[in-house]
Amino acid sequence: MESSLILLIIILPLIGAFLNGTVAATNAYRKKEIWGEKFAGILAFSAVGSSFLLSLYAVFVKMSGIDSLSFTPYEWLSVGGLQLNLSFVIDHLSAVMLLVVTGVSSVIHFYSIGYIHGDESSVRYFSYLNLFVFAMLLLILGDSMPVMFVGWEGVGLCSYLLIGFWYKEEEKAIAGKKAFIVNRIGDFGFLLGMFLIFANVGSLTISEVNEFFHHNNSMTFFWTNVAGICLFIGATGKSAQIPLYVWLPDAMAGPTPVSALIHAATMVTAGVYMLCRFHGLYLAAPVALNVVLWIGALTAIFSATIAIYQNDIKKVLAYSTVSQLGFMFMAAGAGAFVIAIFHLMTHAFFKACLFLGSGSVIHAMGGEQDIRFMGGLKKYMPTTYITFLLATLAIAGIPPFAGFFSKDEILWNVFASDHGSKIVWAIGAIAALCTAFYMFRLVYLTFFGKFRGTPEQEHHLHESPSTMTAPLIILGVLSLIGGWIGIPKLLSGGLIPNFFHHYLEPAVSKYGHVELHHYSHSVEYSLMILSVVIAVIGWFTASRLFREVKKELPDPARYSGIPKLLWNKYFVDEIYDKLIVNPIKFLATKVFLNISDKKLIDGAANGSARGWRQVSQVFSYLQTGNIQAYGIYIIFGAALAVALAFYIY
Amino acid sequence: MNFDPIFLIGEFSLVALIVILTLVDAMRKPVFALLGSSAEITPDIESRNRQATWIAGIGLVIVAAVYFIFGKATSGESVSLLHDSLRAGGGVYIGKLAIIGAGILTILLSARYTMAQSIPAADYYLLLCFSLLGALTLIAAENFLMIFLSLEMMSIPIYALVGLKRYNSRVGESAIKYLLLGGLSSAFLLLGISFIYGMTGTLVVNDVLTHLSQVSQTVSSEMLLMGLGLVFIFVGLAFKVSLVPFHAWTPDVYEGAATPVTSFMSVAVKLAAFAVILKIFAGSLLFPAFDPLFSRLFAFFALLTIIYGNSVAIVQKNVKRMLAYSSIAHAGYMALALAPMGHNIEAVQAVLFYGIGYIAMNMLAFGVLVYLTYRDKYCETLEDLTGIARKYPGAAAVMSVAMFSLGGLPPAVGFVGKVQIFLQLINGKFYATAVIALLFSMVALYFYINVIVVMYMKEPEAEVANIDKKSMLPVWLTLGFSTLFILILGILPSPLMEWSLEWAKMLF
Repeated sequence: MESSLILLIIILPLIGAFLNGTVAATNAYRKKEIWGEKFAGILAFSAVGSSFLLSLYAVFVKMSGIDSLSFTPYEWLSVGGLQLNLSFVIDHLSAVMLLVVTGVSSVIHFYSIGYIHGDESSVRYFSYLNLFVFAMLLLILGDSMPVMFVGWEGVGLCSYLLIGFWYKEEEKAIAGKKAFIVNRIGDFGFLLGMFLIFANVGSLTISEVNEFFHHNNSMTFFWTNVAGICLFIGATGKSAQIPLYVWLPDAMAGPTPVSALIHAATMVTAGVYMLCRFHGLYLAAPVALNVVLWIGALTAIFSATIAIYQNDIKKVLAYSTVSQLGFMFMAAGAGAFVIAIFHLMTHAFFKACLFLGSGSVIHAMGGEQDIRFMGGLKKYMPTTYITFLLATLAIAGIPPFAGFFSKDEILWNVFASDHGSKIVWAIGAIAALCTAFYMFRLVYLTFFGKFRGTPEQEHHLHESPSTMTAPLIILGVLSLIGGWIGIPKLLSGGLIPNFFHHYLEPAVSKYGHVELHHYSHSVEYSLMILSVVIAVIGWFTASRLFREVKKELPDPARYSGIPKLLWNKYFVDEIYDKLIVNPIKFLATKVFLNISDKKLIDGAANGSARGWRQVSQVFSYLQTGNIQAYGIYIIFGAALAVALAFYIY
Repeated sequence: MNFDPIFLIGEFSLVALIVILTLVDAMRKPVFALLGSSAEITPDIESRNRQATWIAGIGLVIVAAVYFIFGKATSGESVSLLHDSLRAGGGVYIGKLAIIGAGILTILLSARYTMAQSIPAADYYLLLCFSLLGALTLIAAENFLMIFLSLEMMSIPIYALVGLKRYNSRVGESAIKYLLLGGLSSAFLLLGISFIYGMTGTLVVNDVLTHLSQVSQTVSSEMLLMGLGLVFIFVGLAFKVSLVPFHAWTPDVYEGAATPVTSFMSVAVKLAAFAVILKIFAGSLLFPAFDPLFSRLFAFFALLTIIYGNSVAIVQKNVKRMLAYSSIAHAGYMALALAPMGHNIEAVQAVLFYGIGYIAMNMLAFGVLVYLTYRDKYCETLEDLTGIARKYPGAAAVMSVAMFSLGGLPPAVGFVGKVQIFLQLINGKFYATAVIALLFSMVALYFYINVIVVMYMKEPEAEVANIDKKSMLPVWLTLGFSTLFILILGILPSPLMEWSLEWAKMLF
């Protein structure tokens, strides 16, 4: 019963993907529709929706009072010491992730029905989207590293397919390739970590790996940390952290619901989730944990500053996502895995809401994404405006919105934890300031002031259809109340229990947890007030500068000094091009292709092939067709065998 | 001795099918036209062939179903029948199902051939069923005499099957070659058996092996004589599975025989012969004093086979001939797993896994050739395959699956099979051997991938011919089943591992 439940949750999206995929392929081939976008959308939505309902049932009914449900449908390979099982587990950690992913996916599938309307390959779109959910579920529920890795690669593949969904436009196809290649670099780290763990632990089952590091860690301190860092390299690829974050802003080339689902709410958080799954390993690897902390903090501040000067509505949100992911890694690096997941969840709500809101705006603007040419949209699209505002308040950390609770707790944990650091706390606080600033800049430039686009665009402005606004409302409300399940004890005075903490704590503190330094309540209070003040300062500044934009916004090409640096994203893409891509291209074309490949390898291969063909030719002369010769071969072989027998005995 | 006929239900129902086939065909008046050299098909022959084809096809499916359902009861424990002549039940159930399955696939492929050719279809199917019967008893044989009889019962109908179109000189030549060389190999086998009988006084395989393990190691003349006996048996069996240099008949016969017959020879006959090799040489009973000898023999001949088979396959222009050399090379891989002589059940299991997987992949490759029977010619050369992907995308796709699997690339079952073979070598510390075998796997990729290149990337010189549309359904069934088998068990191999392990326990 339980087992078929888990299987059903995972398999339903796959079935949806398969059906829509087959139909998409035959539609293209036959030029005759078996079913169109409407049915495809409803099918995809109901597949994911039922998966969500079943997850709710599994988590709240089947798992009440139980720590985990596990299920091994298939023993995949058992060779030598290697035992690979296709096994799944729902524990409290994966349960949270499961609900977030299937829930947000359902909402976004519903939104997509309205958004993708009229696209000629919408059936293909829904097939990819369902396939993504399937891969994500493998990643979340897989109990062994190979299963997780299959999901890990699967979501990467779907991300690639969906970023390049409009592959006929070269720029989008290139963005897809970039995402895939950068992710592959990270995956290499993940694989290395997996090999290291298998070589030392002898098992790839996640719970056994954690158990090993907690109880009888026979791996040296050095190699434990190396394994942790290797896995984290995988996470930097998937979750867009320094130095591998460069693909995420470009990934905005994909359809907006995809950005919301894959590049904000779910896939990019896989790295954080993976770290939390391996908390047993990370608690035994303090150096690796410190690397996570610092990389997270640097990414948070780095991309938050970039976001300030971006003018593309989706680019701002993309850098904001990178920055928020940095916050999650800060939490994980401080050993506060519960908080990392908490922020992951609230972020999924408000960032999905923001992206879908931006999709609604772009829809109304007829494809325009530059906020310099927007303005005053709130009177045309009230629902979009209000939900967007709710989500912005959440991400900026204004109480009592969801983001406040999670972000405040991250900063507090970084401040107080054994693994934290005061400097990192300061960096995080500045990043939070930037966050409030750039988000309200976005809100004011988009929804306030006068419309700055063409009259034609103004004429077309309209609120989006209800298939698109309903998801916005759901996510907007969640951005408001989503944090209330994790109200810190300090605020509620213990009157409202911290549900989230209670639920998750057993799952991620099984292998020891990180102690917080003891500080008096006043310190904690003042830090909390400080973080609210920071958010309000950011809000206030943005309001002064951008509430009523009088003159035309400056052309980014004329920027100089720091704005120029930030507008150009610290020139990181250019630096990568100069330092890595171009040398590799040079090596590839000039050295490897022309010299070693064409001359050496082709030469050797062709030469040896030619040489070997001659040997083959000689061999085939033996095949005379002459039966006496054949008989002689047999006798000869027998004589050889007999001689050997005489030689040995 | 208790004798429960249920244990031989497969053989009995096959015999019943043979009787029905004979009787029904005998009711019709003889077709003298077939005795001449004319290749014309008269309406009379056509209806007669159709009748025989239907009876054989449906009949064998019924045999398989009967054995599958009623034989299941025997799959629990195995018994010895007829004074230790045959072992039935237990894992043998799996082996027999695999062989019968290969038989069904062959008949499905044959329909297209027998309906269109002026050969006596009833004879064709009778011979096929007799050979199948021989293969069934061969894998169950417990007694050297029974092994010999079954081997002959399996081989002699094949000699005739190869030469069924006797007015074609190429066909006649290959049949005669096969017959004469087969006689030579049988002589070796008999010589070996007589040595063994002379030394041990028994023909029951297990008794012989027990006897061998009790022989005193110091008396070296005794060791020598018994070693020689085993060597001669090895030579006789190596001929059947076509290890180099006992292989020379293979390319000529595979090319000359009708494609369905070739496919049957390359999978069912080979697998059954391998089952015997495993029983005699890989079981736990063979005395370790013989290990140095047979370890070297298997390593040497298997490597030679791999090197020779893969090398010569490169220069072949005829796909059937190429597949013949490929089949030689594959026998080399299977034999190579025995080189460490570890007497562990995993080696036996690896070989059987490979053999069963090989049924599907070779049937698929030959099945595509049968599918692509053009109106005026058979599909036999690489030229006939050039550029077919545009016109026959399905056939090209499944052919690619077959080539991937034969080449040992994931996610096909051939990959898992090769991995297991190489694991045996690594575990037995045969590193150099493994490296050489691996190198020649890469050589093999050249000619397997070449088929895909030819199908997809080369432009045909003339327009791709139209294929004959007759009796396509059975061919599609074979292709579909084999493709699914290859891909599903390539990705999720553990059921096949379990089956082959069950069977391995019987040979052990």
